[in-house]
This record gives sequence, structure tokens and C-alpha cells, in this order.
Amino acid sequence: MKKDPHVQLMLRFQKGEENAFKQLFEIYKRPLLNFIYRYCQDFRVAEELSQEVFLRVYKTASTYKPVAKFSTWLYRIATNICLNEVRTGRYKYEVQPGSTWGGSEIDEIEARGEHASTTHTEESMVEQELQNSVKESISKLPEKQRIALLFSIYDQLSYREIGERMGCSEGAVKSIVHRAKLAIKTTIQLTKEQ
Amino acid sequence: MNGLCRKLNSEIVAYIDGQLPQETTSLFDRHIETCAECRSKAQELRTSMECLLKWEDIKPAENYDSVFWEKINVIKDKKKGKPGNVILHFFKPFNNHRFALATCAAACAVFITLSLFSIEKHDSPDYKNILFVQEMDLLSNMEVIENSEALEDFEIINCLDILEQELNG
Repeated sequence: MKKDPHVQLMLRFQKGEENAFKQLFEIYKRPLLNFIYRYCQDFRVAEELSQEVFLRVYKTASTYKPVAKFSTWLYRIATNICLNEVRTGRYKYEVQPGSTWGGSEIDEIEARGEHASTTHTEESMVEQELQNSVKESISKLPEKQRIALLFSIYDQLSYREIGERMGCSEGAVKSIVHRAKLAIKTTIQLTKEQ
Repeated sequence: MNGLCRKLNSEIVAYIDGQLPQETTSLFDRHIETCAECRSKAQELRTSMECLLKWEDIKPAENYDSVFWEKINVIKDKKKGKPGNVILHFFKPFNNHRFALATCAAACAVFITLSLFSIEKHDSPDYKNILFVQEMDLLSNMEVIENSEALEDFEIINCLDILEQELNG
């Protein structure tokens, strides 16, 4: 695992090289933010939780051991934080039917020019509706299914890698992903039929 | 639906994800060429998953970095300026179990020695004499003895006693 360049950066940070931590932060801030955002579907919460992950890395650097890839360790922290936040109920992720995006978030993201298109053609509206139903169905998945699905779809990870990140066996991940994807598929099919 | 259809149905997600052994994947590849139902199911799943990929990435807010580094600075300041850190630094050697054990043993030995000395001191005749002298000194200096009113009362009582004796006599 010591061949992983990000593990090397973490080890350098452990020895006191602050710049190495800055590099890791720059590399992972966006993918981590997106992972958490897709999990909780709340921009503010995602920002706060992703920062919490990096703060945890910063604080626990002295006890870090390079037993796995750095990304595995980082996302394991992120997964635990996400699951804990749901359990403690500090944040409410419940996506209201038909309004998967909060109004302020739409304005904010559109203002930053990140949405590809805002033309309200019929086609784009149908597409938007489909996207909303996908997001809604993801938000309704049980937490572990949601996390496994996100790792599988957006990080294109193998079941073994997902298991390492989530602390489950490969077999368990296979079953979790299977159920999650079939649930999503059913929702998409239903939306298309409507 | 034959046996292979059922098998593919139970493994369809792993098949689409490319997580099955090469041999099984080839078997299913050949099967969906001939089975329209399974082909359709596999295609539906692929399309659905492609739908998920359309969910675009977001960028962090402009102040994301500055807010984060502020939080880091707070941690740094706490580490530097915390008065408890000086104490923690002093107690750092106690993390070593042997050192902590030796220190505890030494502290116990000192405590026992002092206790024995203290008992001996309280029991010695000299110490008792000193205490007696101190108590007497306190009594002799008591205000009530010096109080003239009290002495007057004492004299009156004394006179009354004498008068009573004379009357009786």
C-alpha cells in the first residue's frame, strides 16, 4: 500500500509536512463533496460533512497506518460520518416528492454556471423529471444500499473495493448493490411509463 | 423461463457490473443473444444505470476552502494555546506504564513513611507535654479570668456565703 502516492502524501503529512495535507485536500475535496452530496442531497450539509471528513483526517493523522489505499481509508471515514449523521438525526435528508432540489440550491448552482442547460424545452423537462425521480428513489434507499450504489455507479468500484470502504464482505456488497440497482431500475421504468 | 434465465435473473446486476467470473460472463453473453426476455432485462438495467450517470457533479462553494482552513486554524490554535497542554506535556512520561508504576510505588513509600513519623510524633511524651503546656497557657490567658466583673461577681458570691455562714452560726 506504500506505493499509493496518496499514502505517501499522508505519511509525509504525518511527519509534519503540512503541504502534503493541502495536496490531499485539493485532490479529494471535490469527489468527496459529490459523494456526500449525492448521499444526503443537501448542498450545505454536504459541504459541512465533507469538511468534517478532512478535519478527522487532520486530527487523526498521528495514528494513521498505511494498511489500505488512502482513498479507502478516507471514504471509510466519510461513510461512517454519513451513517452517524443519519443516526443522530442532526440533519434531515428526506427529499420531498416532486422537489428533489431545494430552491436556494438551484439558484446557487445555476449561478455558478454548473448546470449544463436551463432551457425549459419539453424534452429537458421530461429529462429533469426523470432525474428527480432517480434522486428521489436514491434518497429512499436504505443508507447502506445508497452508499454502495454511489460507490458502484460514480466511482466504478469493484464489489471488493466497496466492501473495503464500507467494512463489509464482498458477498454482502454484491447483495446490497443488487437490491439497490433493481429498486432504482423499477423506479426509472415506472417514471418512463408514466 | 429456463434454468439459465433464472440464474441470470439472480445475477443480472453483477453481470452488468462486470463482477462475475469470465466463464459465467461468457455463458450469459451467449444466452442473451438467444433469449429476448433476458436481453431486454439486461438492456433496461443498463439504461437505468446510465440515467444515474447523468447526475452532474457539483463544485464546492467559493468560500469552501477558506471556511475549511479557518477550522484547521482553530484546531492549531487550540493545540498551541491550550493551557492544559503544558500539564499534558508534564504527564507525557506517564504514558509509559513502567514509569507510571515506579512513580506510584515511590509515592506510596513516601506516604507510608510520613504516616509512621506522624503517629510516632503524636504518641511521644514530649509531644503530650507540649500540648498540656499549650492548653494551660490558653486557660491562663482566657479573658473571663481577667474580666473584673466576673471577679466582682465572684467576690459578691463569696461575701454572701460568709454572711450566710455567720447567720447560721
